[in-house]
Amino acid sequence: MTIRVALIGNPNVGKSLIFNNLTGGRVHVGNWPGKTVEKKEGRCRHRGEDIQIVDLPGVYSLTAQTIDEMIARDYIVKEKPDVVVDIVDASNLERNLYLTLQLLELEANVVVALNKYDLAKSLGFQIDVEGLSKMLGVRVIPTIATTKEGMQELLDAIVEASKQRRRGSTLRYNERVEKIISRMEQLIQEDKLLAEAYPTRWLAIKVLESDEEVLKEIEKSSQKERILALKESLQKELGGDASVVLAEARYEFISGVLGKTVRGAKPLTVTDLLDKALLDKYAGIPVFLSSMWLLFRFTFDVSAPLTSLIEMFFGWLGTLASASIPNEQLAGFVVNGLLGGVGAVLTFIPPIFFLFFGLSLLEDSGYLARAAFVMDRIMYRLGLHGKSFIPLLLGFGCNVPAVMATRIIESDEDRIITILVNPLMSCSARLPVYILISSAVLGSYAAIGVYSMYLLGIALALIMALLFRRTILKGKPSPFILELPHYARPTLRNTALHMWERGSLFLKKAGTIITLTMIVVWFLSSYPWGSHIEESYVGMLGRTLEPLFRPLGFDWRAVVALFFGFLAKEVVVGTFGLLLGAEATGLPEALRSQGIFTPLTGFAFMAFTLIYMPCVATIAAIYRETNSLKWTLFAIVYSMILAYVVAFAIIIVGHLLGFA
Amino acid sequence: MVRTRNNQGILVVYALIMGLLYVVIGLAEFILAIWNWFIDPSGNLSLPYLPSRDLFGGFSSLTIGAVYLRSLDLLKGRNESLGFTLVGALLAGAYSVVYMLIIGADGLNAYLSHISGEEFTWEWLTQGTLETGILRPEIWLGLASLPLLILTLKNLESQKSE
Repeated sequence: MTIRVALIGNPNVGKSLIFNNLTGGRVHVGNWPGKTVEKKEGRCRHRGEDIQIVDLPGVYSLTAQTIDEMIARDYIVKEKPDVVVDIVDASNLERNLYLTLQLLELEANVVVALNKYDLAKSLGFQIDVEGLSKMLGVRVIPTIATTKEGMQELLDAIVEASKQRRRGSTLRYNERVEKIISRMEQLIQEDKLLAEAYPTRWLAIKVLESDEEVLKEIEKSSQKERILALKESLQKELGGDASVVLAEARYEFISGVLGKTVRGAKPLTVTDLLDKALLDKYAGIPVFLSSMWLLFRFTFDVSAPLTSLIEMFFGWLGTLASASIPNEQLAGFVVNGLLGGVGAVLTFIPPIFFLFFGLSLLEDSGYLARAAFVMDRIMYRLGLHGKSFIPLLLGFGCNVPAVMATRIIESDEDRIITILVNPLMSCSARLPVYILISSAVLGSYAAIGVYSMYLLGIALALIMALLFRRTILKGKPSPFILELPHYARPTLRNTALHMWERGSLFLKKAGTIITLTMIVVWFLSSYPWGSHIEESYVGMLGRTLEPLFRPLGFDWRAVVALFFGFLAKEVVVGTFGLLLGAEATGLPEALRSQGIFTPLTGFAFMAFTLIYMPCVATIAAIYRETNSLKWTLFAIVYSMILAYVVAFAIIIVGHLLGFA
Repeated sequence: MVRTRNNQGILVVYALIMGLLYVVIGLAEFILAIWNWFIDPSGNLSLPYLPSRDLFGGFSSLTIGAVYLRSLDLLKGRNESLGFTLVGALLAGAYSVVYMLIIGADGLNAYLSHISGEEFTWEWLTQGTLETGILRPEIWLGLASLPLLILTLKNLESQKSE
């Protein structure tokens, strides 16, 4: 008879390596039924026994909140493998034993593979393997997957365990929790069908934790009403969130086990020290904000001379083109349309590349993952899923891949909220607009102006997420576990490579959609040929829309810039370049001298640019990812209303503070 | 063991001094900026050698100071609090480097303006985008944080070898 074995463990514990060691690489790869998650199966023979091994997805727990957890739990509950080999990282027992306890609650026939045993020893841990085995009530085998040590012993233990099945759970949490679990268990046992299909203690725990999948089973029970009524009263008795109370009980149990079976302490490492401060409850967020401010000063101020050089280059090119092209219309097209429009956009290559360089540096060092961890505390409270931070952070680069990155979020509600607020993150296309307007009207405080737009975007994203969560997408975000990578010293080559990968997208965009849009804007601003710009087609458009924006202090030129900025936000800068007749050089000066903005209206304009209607590519991405015209239209309409309200509020508050 | 204790004593005193300096400077910059931005925008309240409108710069210095001061937990025997001196020193050093880069960028900009026909002045060095140029205290405090970084790493090494 074949022994059916399931391999389970946290991610990065060496599970795949053990799977390959046991099966000798003879693997069948397929998909889990109805899922796109890879399923690996293999076989081996040991002591005359045929062993079939299934590699379950790497999971931290069995709460069934992710597809991976659902697959792993369903397999153990429904397929009932003969043996479940739980691979734990011996150097990180506290975290890994959490899954072990959940497997024992499930009354799985567990064998623990204590992997990375050599690493634990080198870190100074002395593990009493026998003691650990006794306290958990299962076989514990030290293994080193990389050198294949312990594999034969593990196979021996699998064969033995398959012949001596464990009966019932041996785990006992603290007295208060145990009393509550046993009261629920007694009631569940009254439903014979339920008690035969599932371990009753596990069902009791899951009912108390309000596990959705288990509650669906309870719905079918003859004791449904009594179980649900008892659940309510016991949850009150437990106090607080039952799943948190039970998680604490598990960690309390783990702490007791480790206290008796593990000696020695891991010496402090640089990673420990950095995490102590960077993940600190109080210091974490201020350090994150300070790092971001440093990044923006680097982006804005250090790149300034390179921007000046490009401006000078386009200025020189404009003079050359004016002098050497005799045809008036062609000269107008080259000087105003291409050099004035596209050139104005290209002058922002340095800050965009500097921003990506800084972000890559933070990402490659491992800090950004910590920032996600730190921000999760706020984000969870405001109704955003922890995993949302990654798409939101990507939004600083470009909202299109950021919207696509929301695929990592399992829950539809969490995902739609993240998609809806993602365009509020300041993508690199908005940076040229901020820099232009800030330089023009905020003088030496321009960097603060730019930084405040980034902060405003984050704050609005959080506020809107909270609002959506409380109104149209009610519910609680599901908790998430984030694996923090080790800190690493970033290399110049890798950082430069990442910078180029992201920055080159801007160059491609400048060569395609921005150039095409600028040609259209040039045409509309130059024809009827010979007319004053205010009488051109673009002037007519601006004048028509201007009254709508008068309360915000935007004149027709600003309105036209916003109108075409819908295609790509950089076009706002190009349109100003074209409308003001300024070559790339001196565009901020032209804005200033023509009095288009005061510091207050300029700030409101930046806020409007940040918030109003996502660019056309982002709208397409929203439609693709939500597959819903309703949500796409909602994203456009709410952002327009919000942009107007925020810009108007800035003007009002500014006036109250005495700004002109 | 004795060496570690001595090192840690020096380290705590050093972190305390740096922390207090950063907190005082950060607080002053932050209050000046709040005053000049929101309370009396038409006036220009200032203090010597400090920028008068750098709100976030002041906040960042305050953060560095607070991080340094949290390392006082070392006195309670919490060795992992060395993390606060490490992060404080790294952040202080990073600020110092970026501020110096900004001064360099200002200098380059002044030169570019000069070759475009504008008069060359040394304003970029004494004032510039940083407002107080090379005299900005965070530049020098960042450099003064370097020994703290070395002390922290040495302390960590000595703990490993014990």
